[in-house]
Amino acid sequence: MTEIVEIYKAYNGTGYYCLMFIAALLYLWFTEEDKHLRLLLVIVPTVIQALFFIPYFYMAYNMLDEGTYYRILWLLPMTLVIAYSATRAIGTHTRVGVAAVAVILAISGTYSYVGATFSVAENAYHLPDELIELCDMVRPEEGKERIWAAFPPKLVHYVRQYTSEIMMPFGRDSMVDTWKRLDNPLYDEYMRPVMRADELAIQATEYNCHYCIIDKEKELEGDLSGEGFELFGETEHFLVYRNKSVPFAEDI
Amino acid sequence: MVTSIIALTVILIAIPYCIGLLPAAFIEPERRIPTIVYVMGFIFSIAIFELITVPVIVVKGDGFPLVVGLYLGVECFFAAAGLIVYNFKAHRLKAQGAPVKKEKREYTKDEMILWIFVAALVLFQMIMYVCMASFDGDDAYYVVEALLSNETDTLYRIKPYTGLTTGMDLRHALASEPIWIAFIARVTGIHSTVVAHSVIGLFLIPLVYFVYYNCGLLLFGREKKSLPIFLIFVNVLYIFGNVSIYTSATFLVTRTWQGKSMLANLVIMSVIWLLLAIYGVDREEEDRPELGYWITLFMISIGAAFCSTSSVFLIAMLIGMYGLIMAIVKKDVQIALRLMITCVPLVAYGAMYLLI
Repeated sequence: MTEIVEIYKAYNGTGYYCLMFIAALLYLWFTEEDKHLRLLLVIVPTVIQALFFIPYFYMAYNMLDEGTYYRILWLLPMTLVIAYSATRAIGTHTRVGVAAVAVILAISGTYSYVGATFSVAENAYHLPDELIELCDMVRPEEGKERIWAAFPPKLVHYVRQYTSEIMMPFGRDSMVDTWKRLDNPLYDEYMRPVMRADELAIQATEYNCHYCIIDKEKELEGDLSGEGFELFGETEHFLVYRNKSVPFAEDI
Repeated sequence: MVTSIIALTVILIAIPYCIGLLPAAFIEPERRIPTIVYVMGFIFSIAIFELITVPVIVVKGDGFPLVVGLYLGVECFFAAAGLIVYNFKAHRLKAQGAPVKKEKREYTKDEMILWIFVAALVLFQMIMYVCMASFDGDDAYYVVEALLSNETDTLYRIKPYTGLTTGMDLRHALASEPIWIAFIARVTGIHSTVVAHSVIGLFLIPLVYFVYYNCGLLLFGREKKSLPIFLIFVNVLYIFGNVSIYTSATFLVTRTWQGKSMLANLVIMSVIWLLLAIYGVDREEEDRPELGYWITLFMISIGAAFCSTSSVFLIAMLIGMYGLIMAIVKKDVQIALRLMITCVPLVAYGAMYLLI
């Protein structure tokens, strides 16, 4: 039961929409005269909400899809019921009513377009410009074989959204702690506070990487140039090294 | 650019609209308005896509060109069928002496202002969708899967994270939404990631509000002023609905292009709209045609898995719970039985899901 309450609280987050939904249900319970709407918008959602808190229902759901129990709350027409009851509640006081309710709803919620996940789009791909610059630098010419490149973990989500012609020795599947992942020494090397040039070179060659992209801010012990790599190019925040030990498919 | 816009207009507006005329021919004539026809057609279209794509994914790993050809052909067929059936029905109504043109609706100044607010709020969200980038880790799977299909013609046979080849993962493959993004990219010539992040939301965001508009029509009937007020509140709830990472509003704003967002905001709301359309009125008192709503509900069952595999049991639960509770309250077992019939495709998907 505690887990269910935690899920409910997490869903509600920083807002008060769940409380508003309950208030809207109560309001409609006492004021909605249309028996059909009462059934569809009040009685059924109330029962679904009650079911949500039943531990057996939670256990049964987890057998189908673990970790997504919050999606049961999607089945509640919260937005519809809150907006409908608010419209009913303001009655004929249109101007004041709309303004007052809109302000209350806004204050009770959280503005959607802020937060760490949002940034002004740099291009139509919604990928960082610098990532596109890096990918264009290393991607194969048209008609040539795909290449392998190791990118710093903070870029791996984006690379293959831009082009599938760049293959990667590790991707998002290596980064999510809760997922079972295969050991990837190259990824582990990238994650070290201080990367070692010799170990990086060995692992990059082991994974047949034609290129290694290094974050300029990251400390690198040793010199990749002495490990069979050459500086191929750079962008504002990254260095691109070509691994001379791994030839391109066309050159074999 | 012009060709891409024309292609987008044809495959995302014209064809779904014409297809929507097919179920719309079987509802009340006064309800055959563009928002209802378009929502019905869109649901029909994604159901067709799911029906065509999943078998191709299973039997032909490099079958993306086949999906594109088949889907275009079938869509055109149903669009033509929609036009023919709708016109046939309209002619028959005309022959029966029904009024051809609807009365022109007069708007008061207050109503006009309210509707301008509604339009501005929806437009604001569309602009933000294009101008603001939202990072979501799942894009490394879903958007890349769309890009892979478009660039390599393969269907779920390459690991999106790295690029290595892999066996088919049917649990993910049941949800064909990324392939639909790839289809749009192929037909329009726009990069799949651009389609996902800068194009598709321009259609999906208004579509979600069309569903709410359709609900509002049923809730407020002739109360002209209430409908735009209701829609303003819905908009505010979405614009300020990012209270946690789990809400449907957050999904619409931060992952507009993903199937999960379509499930939370479009498919689930469409089911509720259809239930309102079917059971929100006095059925005993009116002998009204409602077959079109039932067809659409059935198509939702077929297309549910398009968005996400979890939508199979979520939609089944939603329809099942509504059916059961309404049957108990109204003491009418037929309600539950009829709704259960619409769930047959969901049961089939569920069996596949559990057996894999």
